[in-house]
Amino acid sequence: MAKNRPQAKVIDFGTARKHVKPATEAKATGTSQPKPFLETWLKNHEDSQSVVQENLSLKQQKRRLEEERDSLIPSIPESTLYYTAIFFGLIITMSWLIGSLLWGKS
Amino acid sequence: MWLGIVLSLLTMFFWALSDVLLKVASVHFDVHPVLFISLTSLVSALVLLLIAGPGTRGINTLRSPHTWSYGTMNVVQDMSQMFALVYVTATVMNFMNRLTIPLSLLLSFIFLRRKPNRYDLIGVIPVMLGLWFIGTNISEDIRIPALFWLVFSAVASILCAMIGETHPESLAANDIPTKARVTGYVVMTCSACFLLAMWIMAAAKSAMPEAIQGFGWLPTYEDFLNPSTFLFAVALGFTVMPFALYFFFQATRVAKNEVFMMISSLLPFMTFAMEWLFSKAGLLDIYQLKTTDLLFGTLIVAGALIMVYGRHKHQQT
Repeated sequence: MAKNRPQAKVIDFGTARKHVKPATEAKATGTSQPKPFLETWLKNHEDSQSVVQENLSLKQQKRRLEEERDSLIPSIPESTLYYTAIFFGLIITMSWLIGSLLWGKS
Repeated sequence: MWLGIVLSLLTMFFWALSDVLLKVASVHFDVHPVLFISLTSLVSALVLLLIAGPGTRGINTLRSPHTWSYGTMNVVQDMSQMFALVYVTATVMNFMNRLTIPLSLLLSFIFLRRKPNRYDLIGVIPVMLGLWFIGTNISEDIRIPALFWLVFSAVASILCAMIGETHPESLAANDIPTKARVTGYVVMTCSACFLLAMWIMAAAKSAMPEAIQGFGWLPTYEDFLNPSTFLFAVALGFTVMPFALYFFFQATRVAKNEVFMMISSLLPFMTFAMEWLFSKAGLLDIYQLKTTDLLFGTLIVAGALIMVYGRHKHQQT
């Protein structure tokens, strides 16, 4: 019976102490090979940072879009604006010329 | 150095020519000042855009509130000069335009806390004396409206310069085509808005003449259809104005700021030479211009030169 009895766990402090590494040794090991927890934490932190950045840029984009929506001037290509301005200027000048020639009193 | 001086002189030549032609238009061709200036600005903006070609900064220019305030002030300044030219010669107008010197000193002291230096204080005395004497030399029956438009023009000019110095798109524009394009967009939009507003006013004047009786300066449909307004404005807008702006851009790029300021203070004399030539050709009558005006004008220019020298010395130290 006594033989079948499970052996009681006895803490052998002497042996346990042998397994404890000195603090400097532990630190050195920690730097060279990060423990899984630290790795995960760092990865999560980086992920959250990128999410924050992404949110910020999305907010900026949203604000720009809102500004553009509020603005009277729509977002059109620069070349379209240029040719529209030229066309607009020519139309005013030409219609003024025609008006002066047809109905103007010299 | 010499190229900068030549370009600055060319700018002055075209500025003087445009002022004298504005005087000729206001005296001989009975043009409506607001319509004439708006159409001249629109045509010169069109030429500037054609010279510049398509490119960047257009949308941002139009979205900037600076654009609208600068453009409005620019057109208002030109119009007030045109109204002033009805009463005084282009030479006197250019001398009196130096009202900007004491006014800008005062405004920058009040709003920007910028203290004037010793040369500013010495220079501003002959400028003020010259302005006072030329002002009192203007015939008594036209003095009040003439001075009103001259002061109005000087204030508009200062505001224009202040807004122009802080215009983000204008400051970011480094090369000549971009500057021409930005200026073209600014001037075209504002002059077109002025023309539209004047058209609405003319329609209102035609529809209810009793209600707008007090606003005699507003144009009528007949003013729009005056062939002289169209022909003179298009000629000036196509030939003189774009050249004046082009040489101004080039001169401010090549010449040092002090060199350009020094040469620009000689503008009234260039205008006088131009007016004299026009009067010899029988296109202009400059009987109003007195020898004392030129003497007091010399006092103004001397004061302005002292101030330019002071700025130059201050920058060297």
